[in-house]
Formats: sequence, C-alpha cells, structure tokens
Amino acid sequence: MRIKLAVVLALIVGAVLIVYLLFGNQMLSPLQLAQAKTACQECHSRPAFTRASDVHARHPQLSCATCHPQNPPVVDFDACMFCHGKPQYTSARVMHDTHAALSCSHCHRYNAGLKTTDNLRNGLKWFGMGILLFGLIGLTANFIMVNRKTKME
Amino acid sequence: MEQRTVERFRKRTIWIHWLHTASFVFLSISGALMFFHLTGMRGGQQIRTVHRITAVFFVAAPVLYSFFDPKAAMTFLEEAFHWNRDDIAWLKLFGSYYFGGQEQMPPQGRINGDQKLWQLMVIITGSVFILTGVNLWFFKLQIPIVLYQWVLLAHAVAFVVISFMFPIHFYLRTLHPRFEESLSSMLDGKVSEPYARKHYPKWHDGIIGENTNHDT
Repeated sequence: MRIKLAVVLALIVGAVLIVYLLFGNQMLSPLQLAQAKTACQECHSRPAFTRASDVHARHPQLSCATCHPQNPPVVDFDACMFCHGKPQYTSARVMHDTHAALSCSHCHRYNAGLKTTDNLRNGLKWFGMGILLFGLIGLTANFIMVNRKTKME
Repeated sequence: MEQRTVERFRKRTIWIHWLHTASFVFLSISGALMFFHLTGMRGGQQIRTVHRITAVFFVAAPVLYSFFDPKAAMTFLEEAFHWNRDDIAWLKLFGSYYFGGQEQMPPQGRINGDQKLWQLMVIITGSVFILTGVNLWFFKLQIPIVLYQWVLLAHAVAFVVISFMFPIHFYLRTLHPRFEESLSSMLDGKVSEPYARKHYPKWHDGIIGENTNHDT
C-alpha cells in the first residue's frame, strides 16, 4: 500500500516538475505582454507577433527597456558585447544556464547588492580552500601519529 | 578476531546511508566545479543538470527513509538534537583521543559525541541545501535578484561547512585505527560484542539488558 502511494506521489510530483520545467519560465504575464505590444506600435502599424524567441531574434539591437519599459534592463549589455558581436536573446533561463561559469556581476554589474555577495563569495572560496587544506593536513598528521603509536604499542 | 554478532545498523539504514553518500559525493564534485568556476561556458549547463538530477536522489533518500521507517527517522533526529553531559565531555576530549592519547572516555550511547555532531551538521546543512536549492532551481526568476544572490551564498556556506566535515567523518570511520569496525558495520550492519562494549557502553548495556529481559 505504502509503495503504491509512494509511486503515485512520485508520478504526480514528476509530472508537475516536467510541466514546470518545460513551460514554467516561458510564460509572460499579461502585463508584460501588453507592455511589449504597445512598444511595437511605435515602429509598426501592424506588428506580426509570432513567438517571443522570433521577436527577440529580430531585434537584437534594441535594449530590453525599449519593449519592456516597466522592466528596466538588469543586464549590462556592454558586457554581452564584450564577448558577442550580436547577442541572441532567447530566455533568461537559457541565458543563465549557458553562462553558468560566469559570476553574476559579470553581466549584472550595475545592480545593487551584487558586488556585496560576490565579494563574500570570493572570500568564501578562499576560506573554504583554506580550511579544507588545514583539515587535510590535520588528518594526515593524525594518521601518521596514530599509526606510529599503534606500532610502538 | 572476534565474531561480529551485535546488530548495529539495519539493511535499510545501510542502503539509505550509501545512497545519500553517493549523491552527496556527486553533488560535491558538480557543486565544486560551479563554485570554483571550473566549467567551460557551455559545460556549466551540463554540470548543472547533473547537479540537479543528483539533488533529487539526495532529497529522496531521507524522504523515503522517513516514509518507510518513520520510527528510525525520528530516532535519528532525536539522537542528533539530544545532547547529554557525556556527549559534551566526549567532544572536549575527542581531539586527544583520536590523536592516540586519552584512553578513558566518557561512556557513550548508540552514537558518540562526534558522530552526533556530524549527524547534526548533516541535518542542518542538508536542510539549508534543500531550502536554498529549491529556490535556486525553481524560483530563480521569480525572486528578487538580490535575494537570489544571498540564497546562493547560503548554499555555498553550507557547502563549505560540510566539505570541511565530510573528510573528517570519512577518515575517522574508515581509516582511524581506534574505530576499526566502523566501516564494516556500515557494510553488513554488525559489530563485535567487545567493540560495542568498548566504544558504546551505554548502548551495549542497554542491548544486553534487553536480551536478558527477553531471556528471563
């Protein structure tokens, strides 16, 4: 009975997870969509809306704030240009995943609060390596000392 | 060689322990690669996927254990959070004891003071990992970016703490000559009677008492 219940629970959680992972972050709120559509009409009389990825791909030269005035850009676009001639925006999820090796402040350098935790994080790395090294030296010393004592006994 | 006849861990506990250990090792390696920025630009994505898949096992192990054996799970929590004078006294002396000095130690129950400390750290850091990990995985685009940063930092602090303690736990239970039956007890669940009496006298006396009561 318990096993059946566990399997059913796991299936439900799995299904919710899959749906969320596939569609969760691709959905724009109605407010965000309305803002973007209003901005289109500044250049196009009849904007042909296809998919968000198409619209983003066709307007790489525009800053996010042009179409999403209520969402000021949290990314420093000069940082993108540093590596890419023409950054292709797909979604925040893909952007974060493909740039996982970079620190947050690499792209969000003007955002408040980022530098604080980045400095702490860098400090933590050195601290972490330091105490790990200290621990390993201690354990090695312990191993040598204890084995020597055991042999003497 | 003494016969190892005293049951210390049940099969279920042993399986959960090793499943949790394996997932922890994979999480540590993949986490360290991201923490120290050792992944390439595209590699980060694959490492993160591995990290997330392993995290499911890391969470599933204690959840399944609590589900199938709630009594044992409660005992695990009680042991970690219930400290008596002997446990504190053990922690005060354990440095000298593990370095080959101090023969006589305060009597211990089913787990000794440093095992209790390890168990407590596993629970605390595990909870931090799960709480922060859920936010980093599912809510990173919903929560404010500043909060995201602090959540990430908390995840990293927990990682540093447990990364420091894990080698100590591993060493003391596998290589240290004073706990020569520790690893084998986590493989077949058994220890010898003298070993139990020497290292965990309170627990040993309890078992002997129980058996005597059953016999009579």
